Amino acid sequence: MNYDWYLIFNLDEFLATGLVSRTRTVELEGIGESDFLITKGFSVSLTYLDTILPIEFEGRNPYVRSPYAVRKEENGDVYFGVEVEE
Amino acid sequence: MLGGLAPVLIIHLQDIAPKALTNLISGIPIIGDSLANLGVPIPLYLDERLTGIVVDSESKAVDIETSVDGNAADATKPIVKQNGIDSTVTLNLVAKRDSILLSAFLALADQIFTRASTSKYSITYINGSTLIFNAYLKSISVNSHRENDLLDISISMSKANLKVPTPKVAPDFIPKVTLPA
Repeated sequence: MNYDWYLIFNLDEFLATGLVSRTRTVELEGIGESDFLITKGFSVSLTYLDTILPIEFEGRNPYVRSPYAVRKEENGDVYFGVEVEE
Repeated sequence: MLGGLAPVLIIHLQDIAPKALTNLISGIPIIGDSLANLGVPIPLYLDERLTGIVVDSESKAVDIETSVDGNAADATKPIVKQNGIDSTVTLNLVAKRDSILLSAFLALADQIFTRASTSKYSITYINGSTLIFNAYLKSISVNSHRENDLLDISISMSKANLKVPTPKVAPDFIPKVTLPA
């Protein structure tokens, strides 16, 4: 499955703030203005359009909830993915 | 007060001049329309001896809406947005039942009631450190007692903020990238 990935935030920087949630409004290429909610509970999740995407949920990276996905890189960058036709 | 001794309530009614006079004034070039809308300020002195109305208690409250959001660019400096919602002064007055000023005041309150939807009035209250200029009448109530000839009047004035559009900051543009599987 192919995805278009968008860098939304850095996990290490977010954890350093001590915040339990943060909203971010960004303009995604090809999609437009989008709102993301970053929340921290037992783990950190990214919420987009009522779809919760827990980062590395059950060890899965990327974590997929079709048609969206979330992926964390080694440097802590968290990407939001949207399925594209192959 | 402002140099005087008694608290003063100023009620300003626009469009109170006779229509013929308003038409005459509004014909004056450039400033005619402004003059025609000036209206009449009516001061009411709240003094026990002068007018038989006294301020029993007063309070002022200011409400500000605040939102704090994380800053992706600098985590140590959150983005704070504030918007003034309301500034309210509440007066509790005691008046003698036969006070002429009280009758005038209640008549003015009725005038305000007819102008409420067009907002062609304003109220200013000045009493030492409790000030509110060009406010709207939020509520007024009058209660009488059987035991005496006094009336309890409660007035609430508000400077509710007009809806001010908050400056829109363009969101960050994020390009799509391809990551290795």
